[in-house]
Amino acid sequence: MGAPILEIRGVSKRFGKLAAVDDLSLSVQTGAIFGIIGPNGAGKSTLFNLVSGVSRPDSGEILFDGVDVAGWHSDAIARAGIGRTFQNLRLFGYLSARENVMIGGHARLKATLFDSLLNTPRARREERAALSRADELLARFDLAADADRFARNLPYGGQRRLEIARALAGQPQLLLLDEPAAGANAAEKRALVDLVRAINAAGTTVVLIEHDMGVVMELCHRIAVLDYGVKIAEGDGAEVRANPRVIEAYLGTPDA
Amino acid sequence: MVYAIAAIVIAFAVAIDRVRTKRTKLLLLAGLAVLLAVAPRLGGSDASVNALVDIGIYVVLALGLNVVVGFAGLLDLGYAAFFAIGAYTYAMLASPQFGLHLPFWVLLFLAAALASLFGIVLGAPTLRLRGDYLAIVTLGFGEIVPQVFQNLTKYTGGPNGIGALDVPTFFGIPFGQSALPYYYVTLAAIALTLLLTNNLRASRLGRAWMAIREDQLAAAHAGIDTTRSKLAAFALGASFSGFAGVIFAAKLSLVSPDLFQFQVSVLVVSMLVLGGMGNIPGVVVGAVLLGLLNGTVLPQLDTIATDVLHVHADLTQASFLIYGVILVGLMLFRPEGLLPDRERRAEMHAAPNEVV
Repeated sequence: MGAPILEIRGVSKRFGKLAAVDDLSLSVQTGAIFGIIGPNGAGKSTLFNLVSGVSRPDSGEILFDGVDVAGWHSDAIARAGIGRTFQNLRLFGYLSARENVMIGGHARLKATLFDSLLNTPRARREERAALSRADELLARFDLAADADRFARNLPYGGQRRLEIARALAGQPQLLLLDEPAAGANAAEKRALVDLVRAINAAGTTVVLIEHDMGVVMELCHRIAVLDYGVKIAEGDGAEVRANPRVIEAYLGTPDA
Repeated sequence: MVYAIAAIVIAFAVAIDRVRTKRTKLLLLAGLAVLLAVAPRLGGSDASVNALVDIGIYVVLALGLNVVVGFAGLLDLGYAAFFAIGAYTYAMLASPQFGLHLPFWVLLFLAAALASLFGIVLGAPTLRLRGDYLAIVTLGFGEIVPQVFQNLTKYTGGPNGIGALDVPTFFGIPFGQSALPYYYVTLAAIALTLLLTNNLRASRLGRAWMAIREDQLAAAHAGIDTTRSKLAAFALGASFSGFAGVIFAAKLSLVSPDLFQFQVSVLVVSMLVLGGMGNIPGVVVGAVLLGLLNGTVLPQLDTIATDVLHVHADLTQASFLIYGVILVGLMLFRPEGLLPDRERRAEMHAAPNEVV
């Protein structure tokens, strides 16, 4: 595997006295599936928020493809090629599944304000193409039958898949998945693993926050473990599992 | 005649809203256009044509504001300010005021451009605000603009405004005193506004607005520049208002600051609420109903009170009471408006504690 697509260097983020992320450094190789695990409150989602521009780090650099994107607006980061999903799902609930996916592809369309206003042939062509791309994605995510339903009316698993489809519609080089297996049953987890593999095989680097160790171990080439905003271990699945600090963070100290 | 035409427009709007296929919609729309084009020929006084033009101007205003409030979800309570800017653009550039006599047709589009520029001026610093805060700032803007026109006496004629505006000409033929030419201009303006706002609704930009309305953070993560998209909504919405302002000023041949008070903004917002925000046929229905109430029904109530009931009550004083009753009733029984779009209908009828 080649150069790192995402390199986090000494990033810190404090909320009041709490250091949610503390001088964190990690590097994700292009083409990898990279796992981030850790107990609740370890700073995993905060890290995603920093990378996707929800909040800006107090210090440190976030290099995406060699460019420091720390402090950029979310939309600029999305256009640069980072897509994400949210732990607590942020779908456009009162829009159809298809519209959700089409909005995800917003940055890939070129229609200007005047194209939109005048519905120029160029805009019409582009809309048709966007529509068929959206329908393809929905079909790939087993959501074709739900295309016209409000996103909020889909079953939970469908909403999870729809959020990934929406993120992929932006054709990101880097996809951040925040607990995609949450609430999934065994069969859904199985399907999710296949889906993430397929996305990765198609050339998208994936960073995954996940509590389900089965999913993490199966998917991830490399895993970082966070605890109290600090990286306490990094390595492949076997290394991480054998690491005493990881065991301590998850299970407590033996004499506690 | 005013009532008959209003009823026809509402019936067609409801039908257009109900039918599914685009072809049927277009056929209905074409039928309505033909009906409206021949309607004044079938009789009816100049006063009733005049009343229809006023309603028509409200339709343009409501469709324009719908871009801002309905599509992008930005509550703008100062929309009359852009209407005033359009009207004063015509008044200052086509009257003896400065001895400038630019053509009506040029000024229509110049005023639209100017109004959208002011939309950007207002929007740029304020669109970071959300919901109520934005509403308050736009409300302030709506108050300031007429004040500025009132106090820049040297340029705007102060409280008396500017009169004797140029009578527009159409290929050299002056419009004259009849309201009929304005009727056709307004009809064309409505057609243009319908076309453009309908294009917007189904466009890349329209989708971006829907996304922002639903969840701004998620919209930004889809790569939507939320500030720019909102500015576009403000600028485009304002341009329709400026456009309508020129027609309004030319027909009246007079502008003065009191024509653009807060009530105008409130009336247009009420049209959206009544008709069904975001849904174009609904907005037309709301605008026609309230335009009719405002321009025709309420003034006649006065005559009814004096002539029939022999009481001297100034019922125009009660107009706010009547609006209030209508809106409260609407909120109680049909909060999504008379003809809502799919989203609002579902939104208003979702159980408050429903798990998402």
